[in-house]
Amino acid sequence: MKGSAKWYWQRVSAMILVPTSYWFVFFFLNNLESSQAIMLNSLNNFFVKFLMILFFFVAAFHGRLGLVTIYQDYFDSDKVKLYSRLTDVLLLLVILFILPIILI
Amino acid sequence: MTTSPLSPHLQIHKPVLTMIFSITHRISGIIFAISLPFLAFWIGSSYFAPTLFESLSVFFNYALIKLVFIFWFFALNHHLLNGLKYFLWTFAKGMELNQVYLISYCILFINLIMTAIFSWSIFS
Repeated sequence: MKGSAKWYWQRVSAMILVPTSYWFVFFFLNNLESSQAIMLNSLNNFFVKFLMILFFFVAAFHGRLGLVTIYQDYFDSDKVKLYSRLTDVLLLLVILFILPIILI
Repeated sequence: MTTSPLSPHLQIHKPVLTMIFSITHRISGIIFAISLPFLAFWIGSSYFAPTLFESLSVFFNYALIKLVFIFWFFALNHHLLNGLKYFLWTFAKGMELNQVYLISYCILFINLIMTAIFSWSIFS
């Protein structure tokens, strides 16, 4: 991705994350003490599933852009490549962990 | 890949407010990125690993871990509020030095109030 495109998408994703992050914090506080049954019940709602998956996907995307920018500022290109791949694995896990909630 | 020059080491900068908010923006972003897989696993596991979810919830409710979550919220909120400042800068607004200082202190003040509310909420 070109530098200017990164800069642009970093801001677009940030704008999506402002409301969805606060929504996630509310969800987190409401469900911190929930049992598994109550948690499943909270997730069993189209808008909750939609917002949850939107939040984690956009956060992973925004996080990848930000982290790679940091690597590029402080490390040489070999390390940037290595750390970017490691970041991809980490963020792929995020997607893998959150996607199954569709099936609830 | 990139052949751009690397940033100078952080310790050679004089710690001024703009620099502190810039570096803490990056640090808080890293903290939140690291927390993402754990949070995704906690939520997802309620469906694919119910017993693990119950154990994780017990762990998350330890007072010490709740303190970690308070720090987590402080970092997230700092990143978010400071990010709004950068969004203003995108449109070349609020870039005068006195405005930068005022906005930065407001970010810290608002974050402290919101973190206090979060702390009260997580412990009640």
